[in-house]
Parts: sequence; C-alpha cells; structure tokens
Amino acid sequence: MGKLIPVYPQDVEDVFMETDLLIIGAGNAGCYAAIEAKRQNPDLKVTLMEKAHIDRSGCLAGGMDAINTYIKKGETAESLTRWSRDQAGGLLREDLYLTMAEELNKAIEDWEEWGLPIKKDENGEYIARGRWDIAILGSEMKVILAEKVREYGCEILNRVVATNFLMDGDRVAGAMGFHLREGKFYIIKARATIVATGGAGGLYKPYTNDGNDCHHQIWYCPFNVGTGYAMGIRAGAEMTTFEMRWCAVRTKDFNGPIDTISVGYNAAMINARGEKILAERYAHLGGDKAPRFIRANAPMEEWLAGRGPCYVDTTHMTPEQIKDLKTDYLNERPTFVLFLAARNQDISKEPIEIYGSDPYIVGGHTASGYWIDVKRATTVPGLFACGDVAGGTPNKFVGGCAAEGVLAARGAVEYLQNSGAGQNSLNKDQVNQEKIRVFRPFERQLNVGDGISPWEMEERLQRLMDEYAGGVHQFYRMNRERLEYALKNIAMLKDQAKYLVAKDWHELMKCNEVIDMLDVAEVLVHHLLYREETRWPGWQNRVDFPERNDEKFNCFVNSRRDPQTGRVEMFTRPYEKIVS
Amino acid sequence: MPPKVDPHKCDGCKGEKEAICMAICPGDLMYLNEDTLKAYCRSPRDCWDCMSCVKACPQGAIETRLPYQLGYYPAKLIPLMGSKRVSWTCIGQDDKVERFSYKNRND
Amino acid sequence: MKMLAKGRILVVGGGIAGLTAAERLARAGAGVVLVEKSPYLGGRVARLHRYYPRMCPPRCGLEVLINNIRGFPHVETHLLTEVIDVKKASSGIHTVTLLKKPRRVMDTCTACGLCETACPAEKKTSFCSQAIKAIRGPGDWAHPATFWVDEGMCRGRDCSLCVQACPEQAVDLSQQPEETDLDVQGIIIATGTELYDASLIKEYGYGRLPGVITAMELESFFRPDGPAGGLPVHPATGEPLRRVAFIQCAGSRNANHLPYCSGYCCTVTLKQVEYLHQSLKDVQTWIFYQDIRTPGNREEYYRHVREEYRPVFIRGLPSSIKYRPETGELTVKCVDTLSRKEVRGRFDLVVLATGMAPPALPEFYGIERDGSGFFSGHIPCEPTELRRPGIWAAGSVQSPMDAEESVKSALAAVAQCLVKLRQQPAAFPALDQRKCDRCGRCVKECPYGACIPGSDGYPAADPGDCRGCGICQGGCPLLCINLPGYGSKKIEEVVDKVLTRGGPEMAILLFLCGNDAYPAWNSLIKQQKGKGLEGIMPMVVPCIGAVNAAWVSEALIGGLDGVMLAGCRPDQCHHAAGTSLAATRLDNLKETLTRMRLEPERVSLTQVTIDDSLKLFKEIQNFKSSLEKLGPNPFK
Ligand SMILES: Cc1cc2nc3c(=O)[nH]c(=O)nc-3n(C[C@H](O)[C@H](O)[C@H](O)COP(=O)(O)OP(=O)(O)OC[C@H]3O[C@@H](n4cnc5c(N)ncnc54)[C@H](O)[C@@H]3O)c2cc1C
Ligand SMILES: Cc1cc2nc3c(=O)[nH]c(=O)nc-3n(C[C@H](O)[C@H](O)[C@H](O)COP(=O)(O)OP(=O)(O)OC[C@H]3O[C@@H](n4cnc5c(N)ncnc54)[C@H](O)[C@@H]3O)c2cc1C
Ligand code: SF4
Ligand code: SF4
Repeated sequence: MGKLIPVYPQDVEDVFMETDLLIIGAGNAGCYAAIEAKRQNPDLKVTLMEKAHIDRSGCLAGGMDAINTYIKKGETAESLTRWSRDQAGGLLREDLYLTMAEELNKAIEDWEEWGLPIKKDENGEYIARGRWDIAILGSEMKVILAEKVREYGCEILNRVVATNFLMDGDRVAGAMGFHLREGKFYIIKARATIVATGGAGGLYKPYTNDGNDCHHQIWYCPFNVGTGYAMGIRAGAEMTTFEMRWCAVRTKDFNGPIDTISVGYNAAMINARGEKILAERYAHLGGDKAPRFIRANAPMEEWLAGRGPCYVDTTHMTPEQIKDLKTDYLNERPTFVLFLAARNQDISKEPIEIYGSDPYIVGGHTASGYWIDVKRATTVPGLFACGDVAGGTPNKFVGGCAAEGVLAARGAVEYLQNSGAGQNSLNKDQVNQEKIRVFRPFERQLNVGDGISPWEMEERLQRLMDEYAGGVHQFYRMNRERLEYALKNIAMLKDQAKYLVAKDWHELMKCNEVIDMLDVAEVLVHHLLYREETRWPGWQNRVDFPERNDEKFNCFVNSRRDPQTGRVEMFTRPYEKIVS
Repeated sequence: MPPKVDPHKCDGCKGEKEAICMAICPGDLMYLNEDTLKAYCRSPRDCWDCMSCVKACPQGAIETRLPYQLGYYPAKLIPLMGSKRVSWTCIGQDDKVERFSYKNRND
Repeated sequence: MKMLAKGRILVVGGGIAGLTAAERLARAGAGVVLVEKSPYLGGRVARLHRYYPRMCPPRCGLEVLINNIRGFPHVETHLLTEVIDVKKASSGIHTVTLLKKPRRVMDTCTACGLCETACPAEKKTSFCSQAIKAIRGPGDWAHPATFWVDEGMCRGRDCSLCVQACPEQAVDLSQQPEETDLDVQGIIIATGTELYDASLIKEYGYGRLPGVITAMELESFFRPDGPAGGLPVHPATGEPLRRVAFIQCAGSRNANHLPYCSGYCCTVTLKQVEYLHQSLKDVQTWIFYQDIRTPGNREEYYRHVREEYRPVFIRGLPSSIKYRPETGELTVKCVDTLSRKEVRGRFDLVVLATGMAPPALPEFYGIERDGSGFFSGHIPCEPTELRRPGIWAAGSVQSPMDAEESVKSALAAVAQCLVKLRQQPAAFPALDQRKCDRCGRCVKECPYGACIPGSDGYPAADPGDCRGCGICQGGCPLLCINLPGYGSKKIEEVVDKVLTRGGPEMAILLFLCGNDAYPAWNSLIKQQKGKGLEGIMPMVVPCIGAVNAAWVSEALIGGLDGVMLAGCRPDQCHHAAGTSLAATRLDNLKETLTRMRLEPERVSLTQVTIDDSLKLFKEIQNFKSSLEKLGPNPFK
C-alpha cells in the first residue's frame, strides 16, 4: 500500500458514524476509559478514534519501566495528594487528585492481571523505587491494554486523525477527522465524547534537534502534538495552567528520562566539580526531595553558574545494578542503551551527563490542560477529558492517567444516563467548513503546487518558542517583551498557515498538526504572560517577575478562546485546599 | 533515529493490505515502496526510536540505527521477541556484547 | 440459477475416467453435474476399435456407465459444455460458471441422416478420413445417438437445408449459447489430454506424406465409421494393406518433443499388430522401437503377439521416410542398433505411435505441474488431490495413462471426494481476535487457500478446506492463531522448566513434524532406549511449517542451547509449503542471530523421511556436538 495522493475537499468521501461514547485517542487513558465504559454498561457502543495504532500509540509506544504513583502500604490518598501538592508548588486541584488517587491502585492491579509484569520481592510485594514508584517490565504494556479493549468489544478506528469536535449548538456532539489509509473523512456523531489525546510535544526547539536524523529526539511522545488541547481551544473550552510547563532533567543529547536512574538507583546529580547539587545547594528546599521544578532547574543553574556539565553519578553502581538499570531503559526508551554503546560509555566508570529538556505541555506531569470537574467533565457540555490532556492534576503519570480514564468513563456514562437517549443532530455546514479547513493544504498543492512545508513551519515555531517563550536554549527564561514578540509572530504564522502544502495524507496530518501547535502555543504564551511571578523556576521563569507572589497568584490561571472572535480571555480560579 | 530495513529480509508482509511495520508505527512513518514492496522509513528525522517497528516485524528485517549526530561509534541494539519474553543484544565498541532477556508478559 | 451446493460434485469430462467418477459418485448418493465439451460421451475410448487388456469393444464398459448415469435423477449431464470459471465461494464451496454451446439438434432426432445428405458444407480433415459435413452424427455407437451441428462449419440460417430435410423437425438453428452459475462442493477434473501433434516430428512427414498416419487414425480403420467403412484397406488405393510399419516413441522420450514415456503406446501397437494380422492374412508388420515397454501382465501380451504374428522388430528409430508417388510406397530408413546396419523397408502405411501431451488446463483450477507439465499433487499420499482443496484430477489429465489406469484414478478421486463430503470436522486453528490485526499473512501463506478473511476482515479457517497443517499458526506475526493442542503455551512451559531446573546441562528443543519425523523419532527412541537423546525435548507439530519463529526465539532467549526442526523434504512435505516456509523463517532468524553475535548454528532445520530414524539420530548427534563446541547459550 503506497502513499495516498491529494484530493480536493469536495472529492473526499465522507464516512458517517454514530456511537454512544466516542473516545478520541486510544492511549493509556483512552483505553482505560473504553474498558470502564463497557464495564459500566456492556450495551453501550464505545468507539475509539486513534491517529496511530492502538497497539503501540502515544507515550507507551516503547513501553515504561515504572509506574510513578502507587499507594503503598502505610500511604493514603491524602498523603499522595500532599506530596503532589509539594511537588507542584502548592497548586493543584485537590478534589481531582483525591478522586484520582482512590482509583489508582485498582487500575494498576488490573493491568497486572491482564499480563503486565510488575516486579515483586520475595514476599510478593511490589518492589518500591522511591516512595511512590513501582518497577515494571512494561515494554508490552500498551499491547496488553489494547487486547483488553478489543476483548471488551470496543470499536477501534486506527489511523483516524481527529481534527475538531462536532458541535451541536454549544454541546460537543462527536468529532471529525480523516483516515490516513482510506483517504476518507470521518464524521462521528456521539452522545458523549471523551478527549484523551495526550499532551503536546514539539512546541519548542529541542537542543537535540540536529537537523537530519534526530529531529524527534525528544522525551515526550513527538506524535502527541496537543491536538486535543487545540480542539478544545477552538471549541471554547476552558483551559488551565498551561504556564506550568514540564521541563525535565533528561540525559544529555539523548533526552531520555532520568527518574529511572536518580529515583531507582539513588544516583545523585553532581556538577562538574563533583558536588552533589541537591544536597549541597538545595538543602533548604528539601535536598534530594526538593520539588520537581527545583530539581529540573538545578543542573541548568549549574551550567549558567559555570559549574556545568552536570551528571547523575552512576559510578557507585554494581554490575547487577547497571544491568537492571539498562533493562529499565530497554522497557521504556530502549535506544538509550544503544546511545551509551555508541558513546562507548561505561557508566560504572563515567557518570551520565544530564541537561534540561525542551518544555512540554503535559497534564500528567504538571497541571496544564482542560479545566474539568470531579466527573472529568470539561466546561463544554458533552465533553470529558482524561490523561495528559486534562489539567489540574499534576503528577498523575501512568497510573493516574489510567485511573482518570476510569473516572472520565464513569462521568460520561452517568451523563449519558442523565441526558436521555437522544442522539445529537448534525450540523452539515460545520462539516463542510471543517473539510475545507482540514484539506486546505491539498487544495494548495493541487492549485499552486508549492508553499510552506509543515516541517518548515514547525521549525519556525519551535525556534520562536525557544527563543521568546523560554525554551531550553534560553534556560527557560522569559519576560513580557519577549512573550509579546512571540505572540505577534505566532499570529503571523497562523496567518501563513494557508500556504501550507501537503503532497500526501501523511503530510496532510503534519500540516494539521502544525496548525494545532500554533493554537496551543498561542494560548500557552498568554498563560505565561498572565502569571506575573515565578512560581516554578525550572518550568516558568519570568525574569521580570523573579519572585513567587502568593498574594496574587496562589490560584489557577485559566483561559478561554472565544470561538466567534478568536480572542483569548484570561482569568483566575481560586485554589481550594481540602487535604490538610 | 531511523529504522533501516534489510530489503533481503523484508517481504513487504506479503503484499498485505497494510504491512505490520506500517500499521504499528505511532508516527505513521513506515511505508512500502510501491515498486519493490519493501518497507522504508519515510521521514527518518521524525522517528522517535520507540522500536515498535523493529519488534513487530515478523521477518526481523528492521534495525535501528543511531544517527552520527548522537553517537560516534557504530553500535547495534537488536531485540528478539519470543512469545512471552524479549531479549536485547547490544553490541558496542570492540564487539562488546551485552545481553538482556526477561519476561515481558504474564500469562 | 443456483442450486443447492451441499454434497454436489462437478465432474468435468465425459471420457472413461469422468464417466466412472460420475457413476460411482451417483451410486454413493452424491449429486453430480457432468460436463462434456464434445457432443458425445465416452472420450477417446469411444473412438477405439477395441481396448486392451481384454480387447473389449468400447461399448463394453462405457454403455453400462452411461446407462446407469442416465438412470439417476440426481445426475445432470451437459454436453457441448465447458467450464469457463471457478471461484472459491464460502466454506468449501466453489462457484463454477458453465458455458453451454447449442447442439441445434433436438432429442427427437432419429439419426436417419437425411440432414447430413442435404448439408452442403463439407470438409476432409486428413487423407485417411472420410469427408465430414457441418451437421453430422456419430457414425458408429455413441451416446447420445443424435446428430449435432458443428458451428465452425455451418453456413447458418440462410442455408437451413438441414432444417428442411429433417422429417422430425429436430433441427433448430436458432439455439444460442447459455451461461450458468453453479455452486458445487467438489470438482473432479477428467478432461483427458491431447495426443502429441505428430506433424511436429518433421522427419516422419506426418500431414505431408500420404500413408503416414497416427495410431489413433489406425483405430478408425477398423470401425464402421472409418475411412473404408471398417475394411483394413489402404485409404488411397482401396487395396488390402500389405506392409505396415509402426514407429514407436514418435515424439516421446525425446528432449525436443515429449521428454517422457507415455507408457501405453507399445501395448497399443501390439494390439494394432494383432488387429491387422487377424483381419489380413498376408500382411507384414514391422515395429521400429527403442525399448518395448510392456510392464506387468502386458509382457505376456507382448510375447503372445511376437510369437503368434511374428512382426519384424527393428531396434532403432527411423531417420527418414521417403514417399514415391509412382508406387505410393514409403521408404523408411533406420540404423538397427543391434546389428549396427542400416535397414530400409518399403511400406504402404506407416503408423506413428504418439504419446500424450501435457493437458492445457485453465488457470482457475490452480493445478500444480511437474517438470513434464503433468499434475503434481501430493503423490503418493493424496494421488488425485490438487493443492486447492476440493478439486481432484482423474484419468489421463493427470499423467499419460491407459483406460485401466484412468478408471483406477477415477475411483481414487471418488474415494477422496467422498471422504471429504463425509469427513468429521478436524481440529481447526482458533483465532484470538483480541490480538489479530487482520494483516492477512495467514491468508497468503495457507497452502490450501483455506484461510479466508470474513466480512469483518478477520481470517477464519474454512472447515471444508482446512487440513489442520498449522502453517497459519507458524507464520502469524502476532501469535494469535493456535491449533488446538499446540501453541505458544507449550513452548513457554518447556522454557520455564529448563529455567527452573537451571544447571549447565545441554537443553535442546526438537520440533518434529507429525507426518514423518515423529514416527522416525518414535523408532529412534525404541532403538536407542534414550541413549544419546539426553537433553532433547521433543515437541510434535502437524507440519514443520506450524512452528512460529517466535517459539524458536522464545526458546533461545529463554536459555535453551539449541532448537532443531525436523521436517519432511520440501518436495515431500505433506502440506506443500511447510518445509520451505520453515526454512525461510529460520533463515531470517539466523540472520538476526548472526547480528546478535549468537551462533546461527543454534538453530537447524533437518529433513527426514519416515524410515530415516538413523539419519535423524545422526543429525541430532551432529547438532549436539556442534552445540558442545559452541558452549552454553549466553542467554542461559
Ligand atoms: C518517555 C516517557 C516516559 C515516561 N515514563 C513514565 C514512568 O516511568 N512512569 C510513569 O508513571 N509515567 C511515565 N510517563 C508518563 C505517562 O506515560 C503518561 O503521562 C501517560 O501514559 C499519558 O497517557 P495519555 O493516555 O494521556 O496519553 P497517551 O498514552 O500518549 O495517549 C494519547 C493518545 O492519543 C492519540 N492521539 C493524539 N492526537 C490524536 C488525534 N488528533 N486524533 C486521534 N488520536 C490522537 C495518540 O496517538 C495516543 O494514542 C512517561 C512518559 C513518556 C513520554
Ligand atoms: C490410439 C490409442 C489407442 C488406445 N488404446 C487403448 C487400449 O487399447 N486400452 C487402454 O486401456 N487404453 C488405450 N488408450 C488410452 C485411452 O484412450 C486413454 O487412457 C483414455 O481414453 C483416458 O480416458 P480419460 O477419461 O482420462 O480421457 P479421455 O478419454 O480423453 O476423455 C476426456 C473427455 O473429456 C472431454 N473434455 C476435454 N476437455 C474438456 C473440457 N474443457 N470441458 C469438458 N469436457 C472436456 C473430452 O471431450 C473427452 O470426452 C489408447 C489411446 C490411444 C491414443
Ligand atoms: S514488517 Fe518487516 S517484512 Fe513487513 S513490510 Fe515491514 S519491514 Fe517488511
Ligand atoms: S522506531 Fe518507532 S517511531 Fe521510529 S519508525 Fe519505528 S515504529 Fe516508527
């Protein structure tokens, strides 16, 4: 099967479908939502719309080596919430976090029962890796999950790229998208919809972006570009805390996770002088237990202060530990092992170099995403959100996203019961407009045959964000003027989106991804502008407001883009403390 | 880090409607050459090196290559999948071989 | 028109093989549709004078068959009909398309022959045949005993002289061809084959020299519809035949023509020598031959003819034949390889004993052919079955054979066909829909085309066609096909056992094909009483093609020292593609192992026949000692 060629929007065949519950994104959270919906009511028709293939899509494509949050003996939902609050600089939706924490263990234990190997000690207890982590052999965890989704009888549409919600008045009534293999346009009407498209990678230029062969050498899944956010933004959904970006300490050049090393094997971060950075410089903030944004920022501060490069010190590790460590990587980012070999690096003799990553918008790690209630309903009726796309619940990670999928499904099923059986009506105009919007890069290819390639525009955006909206090359620093410059230029890029060209359906997907990234970047910069303080130095570093301002900003910064005017409105929502 | 397809081993998944590597790649990067019916990575720069394609190929025809920009020495990382078990062989400088093998699925 | 397909068999070809098959099937209660291309039943045998071994006239045998067939209400016979397409429908059902040409003469025909006399369209086909008309009858005995219109010669409705001549109004020139679709559960192909075209043997001048004829033409000399109404006289002179030469292997056993021996021509020549001597006192017969091939009881007949009629045997094939128009004589030149002398003989008739050429069969039957172009099913275990399930070949379409062998092969086809109609459902591969991605590799690799994607895209084994070889299981990239009693679990158990046992002892997984290798292994255990087989963990599979490469990998990465696959020779594989698929899969794996710096010698595919337990033992010993040299598996 070869590449599909461009066609005019009016020549693209429409496929109309109806379902009870539509789940956009068959990733971790989406799969859990699908299974839970079927468990709640096996008679429901549950449809998953997935741009890739459910077996290995999204963050879990390569697997995972740990589940970062599991409530072990002696801990409680409250203690986990407390910990998460500390990690998040005091800001999180405790109502959301508590409800998530209560579902957490069950979701993880289900996974084990379905076939995911979780490491256990002699007593059959999960092997702890730090306070909340448990170690897994998760290279096949997504495949295992997908099998379960099929077993529960859900309908799976692989390779259908969602582009926008279907609206019935102010309600979400399903979604639209195109099928990469069939070359058709899908219009899926649903009585309830869950968005679970993951977070947004690739908004910023990664320092590993060495042109040719490693453009996507980033930590987050580069195929999650924030379409779920963008669709919500365009539908007028309320978003929260985008400014709390996820910038992490990653292995230098490879951009791989280091929790594996630092949490799993007690390897301390050291600077060029061999000093233990956290213990020596951040003791007042908790040392090794300092909040994540501090830890994320620490090595970068060392670089700036002339004490770089920095490392995680693996030189104390035993050969067995090193083998275990590499096994962990093989289950999550396998090529890190290849990377070490290609550098001829023996990590028992040479520590692993670390550096900050490019910033991501990831609701599973920080609090950015849809503003939702405890039922995981968004502010747009009929639409629920879970996983990395949903906000307010930092430090969910794998288990939390799964648990949130369960909750979103329950919320949606309850909504279906309460809202009666009625199917939404279909707005034909909207469908036609959406086709024109989505297939415009084809039209340009057919009419003009030349224009901006999606890769070109993506690189332009990434550089812009990097330099003016606090990217890794700027040590995450930003100020009002730079952010305003970024906004102005994003507006220009948005205007130029009409020049995008696509030569086949894959390129069409890339074009639409870039358009989505522009919408997300715009809202993100508004958020960064609005929070005039520095709450999370590693994640959001306003050089013009270097201090934390609890008086004004111990609250959520939210946004809503007016679907009619396109204006982004910024406002705040109070933080409510539930757990003492 | 792009996957490299060995054209002698790849059988285009026997002209199935969608080759396995093509079906599985989360980034929609693997395609079949229409003339040769052999798979290739259409945009190596966009590969996340998740190695899904490498693990899924029934012919063992795909190998992940590290771009020179990242690693200086040629090295190999070869997964071999059993039915409930996976193994990895990493070959580095001076043919240094590291092997890993473990269960990746419970029953 | 679609009739009930269940239990109905299509028999193509109404020669002795097809008639035998149709009659026996009908007797066993199966519905039969018999299709014959020509206007008459009986095939080549119906055109012989007599047929050996018992020298019966063709009526004997054929008439019983035809009468019986006519008596069965569940047999339909279509003459002048051909199969133009065969499609696989669902579960063991084939949809066939028939094209029936019009006979243009109706059953009310009494074969009075007035139409033939009236017909102006006339043609002579060879020097020794009578002229034929566009509307004509069978001449001698035939079924049905009605006339027919030869479309190729008829001048059409503008002429219509035959219509006017017929006292019974039995001629209808307006009849048109008809196409019919039909669902059947099985097909027996019994379309016979053509004889080798004698004019291609340039040195014998067939078609150019009057007096050079084929054995088939000589048969007609003795028939009432023959050139001289059944008298054995020279067709040109009307004189009784005096000197007749037979040239054996005319176009046979010759790299430029047919490379093989058709097996029946020598006996036919002896039979025809006997015809001649029985009806002509003074005839002299010569036989030019390479070897007289009369196996079995035909040898007795050969001795009888030699002693009774004393034909001249010249061992050697003629190099040329010359014709003298003045005398009408043919001079045959030949080197006698026994005396090494050149021999010349003058004859008034030279008979070429031509062999049977490979059949021209349409693609849609999916027949596999051997090097000489004949059927190559799984001989000898399933001697008549084509690789495509539910299709059998019977009679001379399979390979050159005489009437007796044709009948035997028809009976074999009937037996196989009935087994299929009656068989208990076998163990079919089960599909795990949770894992299946509908990739279609099983559909491509199933040697029987029995793995068919359903409307939902999921493949399913057609219970009518699946033979339980498990090749689909062996090729499935996602391990979602399991034949009951086989599958990944068993291998995982073995690996776990070896892992928990630990220790340095060598552990080898041995997959044994259930057809040949497993029986060989069983004899081996008895012979060896376990000696030399330590550490071998045998595992039986229905075919070596049922072994999935992931199982071999599972064993290797689980620490077993080696994996050996024992299957049949590729040309003996009971499931056609099993061994070769296993070889490809192992080759791929070996390449990966090599890259992994793991010795490819740790996997091996060996081919054993059922009585080769010693070879199997040797192979196992060699494998063990090569593993010993390699040392333990680094994954241990
Ligand atoms: C490299 C890496 C390592 C990690 N390590 C850990 C760890 O060790 N422990 C831990 O607890 N957490 C870890 N995480 C975090 C955790 O994996 C994620 O937070 C979580 O899995 C996200 O789940 P999700 O369902 O929201 O997103 P995903 O699982 O990514 O699912 C999103 C899905 O939406 C689909 N999609 C996107 N756009 C569209 C569209 N337009 N149309 C249709 N479908 C679309 C995607 O293809 C994907 O299938 C890690 C994450 C990464 C990237
Ligand atoms: C000169 C000569 C003498 C012989 N003498 C003897 C002998 O004495 N004893 C002996 O045992 N054998 C003899 N044989 C061999 C014998 O004729 C054959 O073995 C026998 O005829 C084979 O029978 P059959 O049914 O396989 O094929 P055939 O007799 O060839 O019958 C095949 C039938 O199929 C029909 N057909 C062909 N194509 C199609 C189609 N596409 N669709 C429908 N119908 C079709 C044909 O019209 C024919 O009726 C002799 C052969 C020759 C040439
Ligand atoms: S999965 Fe392997 S065999 Fe199939 S097309 Fe891809 S590279 Fe070729
Ligand atoms: S390694 Fe992953 S991202 Fe790269 S081509 Fe293969 S499947 Fe796609």
